[in-house]
Amino acid sequence: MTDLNLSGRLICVTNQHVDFSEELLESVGSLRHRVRTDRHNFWFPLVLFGLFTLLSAPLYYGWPFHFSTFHCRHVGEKLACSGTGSYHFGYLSPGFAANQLGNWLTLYWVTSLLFGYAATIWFYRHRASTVGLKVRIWPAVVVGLGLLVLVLLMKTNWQSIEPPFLVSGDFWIRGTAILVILSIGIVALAVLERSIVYVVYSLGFVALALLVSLYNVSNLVQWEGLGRFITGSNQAIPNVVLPGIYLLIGGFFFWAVQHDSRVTAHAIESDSE
Amino acid sequence: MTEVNQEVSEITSAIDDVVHQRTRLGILTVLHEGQQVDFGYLQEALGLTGGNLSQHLSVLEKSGLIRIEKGYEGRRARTWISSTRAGSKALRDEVTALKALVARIERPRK
Repeated sequence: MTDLNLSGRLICVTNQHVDFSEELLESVGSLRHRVRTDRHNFWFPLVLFGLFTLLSAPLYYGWPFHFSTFHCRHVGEKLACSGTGSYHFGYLSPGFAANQLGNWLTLYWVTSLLFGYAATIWFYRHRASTVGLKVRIWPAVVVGLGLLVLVLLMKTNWQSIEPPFLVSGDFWIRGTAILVILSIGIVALAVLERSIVYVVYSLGFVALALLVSLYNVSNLVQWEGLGRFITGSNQAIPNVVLPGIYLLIGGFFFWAVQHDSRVTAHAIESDSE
Repeated sequence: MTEVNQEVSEITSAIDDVVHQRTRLGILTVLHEGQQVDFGYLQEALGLTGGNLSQHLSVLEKSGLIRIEKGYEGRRARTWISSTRAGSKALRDEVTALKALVARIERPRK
C-alpha cells in the first residue's frame, strides 16, 4: 500500500485501486468495440460502388476506340498526338475515343459517383437515426467529390496532352482513373470509420486502382491460360471487373462480420440480463 | 517521498474526479466514438435507467464536457448528446493516467 497526500486529497494506492483502474480500462475497451460495431456502415458504399464498377464493364467494350486513327508519342514528359477524326479525350473515359462511347462512359461515372455518394450519405443518416449514433462522413464525401470536380475541370489540349500532376499519360488512357479517385474517397471513409482493417483494405483498393490504370489486366489473364476469352475488343474489361469484384467481396465480407458481431453482442447482453 | 510515490503522485494528480468514475467515463467513451449519440442508445449501451443517466449527463454538462441538444425527428422527441473538445481531452487524459498508473504499480521494483 502506498499512502500519498496529493493536492489536499488522501489517495491510497492499493491493489484494489489498480484492479479498479484495470477494470475501467477494460470497460472503456469493450464499450469502444461495441460502439464501433454499431457505427460501422462501411460495407454499404463498397457494395454500391462495386456494383457500379461491374456495371460499367460493357462500356469498356471496344477499347482502344479507333486507336489507329491517331498516332501518339511521348515527347519528354508529354504525350503528343496527331490524327484525323472527331477526337475525344475524357479523363474518366478511355482516351483516343473517336466515337461517343467515351462521353457515355464519362457521363456514367459522374452520375454513378454523384448517386453513390448521395446514397451513402442517405444510408449513414438512416442508420444514425435507427441506431441512435451519428457518424461524421462529410469529409470523405468532400474529398471524393472534390477530386471528381478537379479532374472534370482539367482542360486538355488534343495535340499535346500534359499529364496532370506529372502523372504519366498512360494513367489516363484506360479510363479507369475514376477508380483511383473513388479509392481515395474510400480511404477517407475508412479513416473516419476508425478501423485499421478498413484502412488496410481501402489502401489495397488504391493499389488495385493504380494497377488497373497503368497496366492491362488482360495480360495476367493471358498468363493464366484464359487468353482465349480475351479479344482485342474486350481486353479492357478485366480492368474494371477485377476492382468491381474486390469491392463487392469486401462489402459482403464486412457486412457478414459486422452482422455476426452485432448478433454476438446482443446475445451477450441478453445473457448478462 | 520515494521515487515510486513521486511518480504515482504525478499520475494521480492528472486524474479528474468528474471523469474518474465508471459511468461517466463510459459516457465519454461512447460519445467519443460518434459525432452525436442518442439518449436511448447511451442508456442501452451503459445499462442505466433514464434517471440515473440524466444525473450523470447533468454533471458532465455542468463541467463543460458534453453538449445536449433536444429536438424532434418528425413527431418523435430525441435528445442528442455530443462530446466537447474538453470532454475528448478529459477522456484522453483519464485513459492515459489509468494506463500509466497500472503500468507503474505493476512494474516490478528494482
